[in-house]
Amino acid sequence: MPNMPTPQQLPNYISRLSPRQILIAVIATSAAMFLSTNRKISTALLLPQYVLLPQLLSETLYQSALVTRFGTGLAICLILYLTADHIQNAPLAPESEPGSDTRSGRGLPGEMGLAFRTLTLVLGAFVAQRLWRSYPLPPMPPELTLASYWLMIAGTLVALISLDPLRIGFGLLSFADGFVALYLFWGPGFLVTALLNVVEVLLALGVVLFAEGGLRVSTTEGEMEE
Amino acid sequence: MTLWFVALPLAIALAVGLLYRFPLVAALLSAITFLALAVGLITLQKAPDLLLAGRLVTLSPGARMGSAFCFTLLALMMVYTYRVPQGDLSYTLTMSAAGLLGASLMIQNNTLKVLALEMGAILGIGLLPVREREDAVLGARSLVLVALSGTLLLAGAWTMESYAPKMGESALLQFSAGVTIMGFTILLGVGPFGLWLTPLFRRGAYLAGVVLHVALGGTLLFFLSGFLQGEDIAQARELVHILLFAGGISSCLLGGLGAAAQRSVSGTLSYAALADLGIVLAGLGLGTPESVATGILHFIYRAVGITVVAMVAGLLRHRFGGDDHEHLAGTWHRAPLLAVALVTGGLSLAGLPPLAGFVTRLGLYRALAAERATWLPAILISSLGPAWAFGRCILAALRPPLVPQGGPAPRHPGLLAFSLGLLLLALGLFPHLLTLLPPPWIDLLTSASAFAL
Repeated sequence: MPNMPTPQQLPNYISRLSPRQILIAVIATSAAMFLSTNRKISTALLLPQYVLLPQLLSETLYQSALVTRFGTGLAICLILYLTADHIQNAPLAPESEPGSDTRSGRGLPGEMGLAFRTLTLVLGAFVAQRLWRSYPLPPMPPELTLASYWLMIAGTLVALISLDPLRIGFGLLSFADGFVALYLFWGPGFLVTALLNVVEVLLALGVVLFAEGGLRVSTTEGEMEE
Repeated sequence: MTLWFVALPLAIALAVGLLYRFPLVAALLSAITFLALAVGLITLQKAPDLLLAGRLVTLSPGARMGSAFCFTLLALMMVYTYRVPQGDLSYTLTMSAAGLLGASLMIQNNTLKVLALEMGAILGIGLLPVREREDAVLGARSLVLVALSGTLLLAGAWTMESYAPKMGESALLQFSAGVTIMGFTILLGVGPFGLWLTPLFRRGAYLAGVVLHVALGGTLLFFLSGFLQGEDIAQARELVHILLFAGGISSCLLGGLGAAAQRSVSGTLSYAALADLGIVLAGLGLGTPESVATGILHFIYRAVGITVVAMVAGLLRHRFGGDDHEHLAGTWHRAPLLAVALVTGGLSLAGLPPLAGFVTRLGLYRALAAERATWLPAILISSLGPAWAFGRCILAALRPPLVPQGGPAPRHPGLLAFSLGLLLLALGLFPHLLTLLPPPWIDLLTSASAFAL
């Protein structure tokens, strides 16, 4: 593929994207993340939110704040990816297929089906669009407002309908990222930006703590059954 | 000096994190640190104000008293946790949560205050031990609610600090006050009812329950009392009082009803704590100086009651395998200290005489009768729920054992719960014992205005 940028060219490539292209990319990747049943893919799809969304803030945020935002996103995705990998490779890992129960046959019911999740996301998109029309929050760029509303609403819905701690975490972090993008536009200063990043990292660590705890319980239950 | 009260718990949190393989050392270090901090706060005459990154950091008398009280209870919980383990990370997370909540009390900037509060709440939720898969889901969902409330509080603080006062827009002020109160009620566990704080004790998260109900709740209450008296919300004060009163009454009614149906100490504690918080919020919502001061004192008694009953429930589960009526049978014979602690702590939470909880409840009932008498019968009836449930637990403890008995309960943690229970009894029988406190603290307790930041 001759048009694909190399990793070295990626920052330049991203900075050349128009706000509308960024909005479409954020919506598409987050929707794919919510629909995917593979935890590792979902984690990888979380990264564009942290890389692309701050581009919409490049005019209001200091360069150093943007860099820390990228760094935070990278750290969060790495933490979640390691846990997702650990859970998916565990011998008695909870199944993530729609409608299925856990392999050990006990415990929480499986995730909602694909059709249900798609309908939920459509509902979320409708609400985000209506909210965007009703409360455009000038002077914010409309692309940033819509992306933030979408991430907050879709994140909340995913956290509500999921029964897997890691998937709840994807929803939680999307919600937090949407709000932070909205909040950072109003220029709260470097200290507040840094503390918001710390809060997001703590949230990710909390999610990992509970996801690993859930896996440990599943493994113990599975071993007892065997 | 002021910064030590934040820096020390955070530094010790790192140390006890490294010492997690030596629980005795970690427990003692944590308890000694909390006690040293409490003594430091009590004996400190006046701490100079600080400017940190351009923000004012100050240790007001109210913050000192609140922190000293929370640190003392947490010191006791650290000793208790050594005999009733709550997870490898329990000491580290408790210390760091306490440090951040302490920071939240000292910072005068509302945005930074909310961020410190949110971080403390996240670390407190991390204390929830995962014993079943439902615990993991509960923990993750609790994080969602904390993030949601943090968002609301940040939005409220930002609107209030940046726009509303300058523009003099009453609609924006009402919005700001409304979202702030919503954020508070979510973090306090009032709404959405029963979703996050209520299940903690039922799921055996006793340390997490005490940290979140007592330390986080106390910090929130302090924040709230400062918020209520701020000039910024003058135009929205009536709305704030209505929201607080409505939240308090609904939590009191639902908590009372929920408690009546419980058949275990943990279950009763979960709902009784919420019902009792409802009384506190109703007192704040009434908005008279007396009702606010009595509400704050009631919160302090409630915190001690929660700690006592949580200790009892944890010990019963740890030693006898459960804390429901079947497991409670025979407790008077095999663990009399625990039984007495259950009576004093439980009945104080339920607001029955002659315990401390009754004294402040009576004051709040009087304030309610004077200001909004129509709600009094419903509140009185709903307060029977926790009393009924704790009464059944006490009667169950009197019966002969139904399940095979284990050995005697560990004496030291039982003694801790017993001593705290006796304190509740003493304060109930002799309320004037409070006058033994340092005079500035008595002023704080009797004057709601002094509690403001």
